[in-house]
Formats: sequence, C-alpha cells, structure tokens
Amino acid sequence: MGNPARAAPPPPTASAVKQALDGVPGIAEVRFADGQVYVIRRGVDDARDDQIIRAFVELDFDDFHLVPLNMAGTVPDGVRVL
Amino acid sequence: MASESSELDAEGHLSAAAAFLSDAERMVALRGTPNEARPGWIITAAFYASLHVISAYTFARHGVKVAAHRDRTDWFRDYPELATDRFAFVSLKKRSEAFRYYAEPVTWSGADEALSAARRMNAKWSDRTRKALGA
Repeated sequence: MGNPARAAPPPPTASAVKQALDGVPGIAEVRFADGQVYVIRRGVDDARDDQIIRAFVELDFDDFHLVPLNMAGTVPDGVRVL
Repeated sequence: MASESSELDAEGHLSAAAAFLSDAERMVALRGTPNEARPGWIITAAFYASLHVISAYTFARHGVKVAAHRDRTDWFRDYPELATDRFAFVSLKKRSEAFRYYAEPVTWSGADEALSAARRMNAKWSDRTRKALGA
C-alpha cells in the first residue's frame, strides 16, 4: 500500500507568493524560512485568513503557517518577501 | 489517537472521525456554560474528524495507508475526487495549527464554520467509504 509515485511540486517563488498575497489586508510580513512560508498577520479576521489559505491552495503549496503578530519572534529568520 | 492513525483500518478511521466530530459537537453544546471550551479546540476536533474520515476513504477506495501528516497533503494531488474539499481541509488544518502552535485567538463564528465543514465532510466521505467497503 502506498501513494502513487509522483514528484512533489516545487515550492512557489517569492514573487508568486508576493503576487498572490499582495493586497490582502492585515498582513504584517510574509517570510520564507527553511522551505516554509510564514504569514504574520495583525488581529483576528476570518475572511482575511480565508483569502490567505485559498491563495496557497491555488499555489498548490501546503508548507505555510498563519502566525499572529505577537508571536512573530518565534518565526525562524529568513527572507522577507512582503 | 491521531498519532497512531497509520495503524487504523478504514473502519477504525471512521470510528475516530465520528469520535472527534462528537467531541466538537459536545464542546459547541457547552458554549455559555461554566464548562465552555475555547473555540480553538472545536476547530482542532473538527480538523481531526476530517483527517480521519478522508483517511478512511483513501484506505477503503485506494488502499492507501498514510504514515505521516506530510503524506496527507498529497491526497489532493493524487485523488482528483478530493479536490473540492482541499480548501476546507487545509483551512481546518492551518487554523488548528495557529491555535495550538501560536495561541491564536479563535472566534466562535470560526468554530461554527469549522464544525459545519467537518459535518459536511464526515457525511460525504463516510458514505463513500462505506460504498467502497461494499457495506
């Protein structure tokens, strides 16, 4: 038993993530670190988070995290893309 | 329970899904009482209910045992019939992680939406699992 053999899709480029999330309200920072994407947001906004999640689903990329601004210090250092 | 899910068969996953959905329903029923749970736990129970019911389906229909959370993200690429539920599943997963890993506040409306999504996915994929099992 096992999943069919297939190559994992490559992670999206920084510019693709930036384009997908540009204009979504309440995003303080988007950071690439260790092959993952951390979306640091201001406040609680379910509709905003729906937009973010849908953007990553459309990018076919699951290694992202929703992080509240007051926990930004726990996010690994990386490259800021937004 | 979830950490041992790779050892479950389809029926075991269906039972686990029903148990997590029942947990979520009971937490919603306790809203406004002294025993009220934080709504983030409702989202978490809803996520595990959806995870187990889709595990049941992939096991019954495709013979796939999933050994790690990472492999589950491939479901939606490997089995096109699951694609329509990818957003709902990823939404439950990421909101549950934000609550558990980052102490993210969760709204009651968010918990209500999560429970609705879990109910819908549980009904749909448990039915398809039983059909795949020939029940």
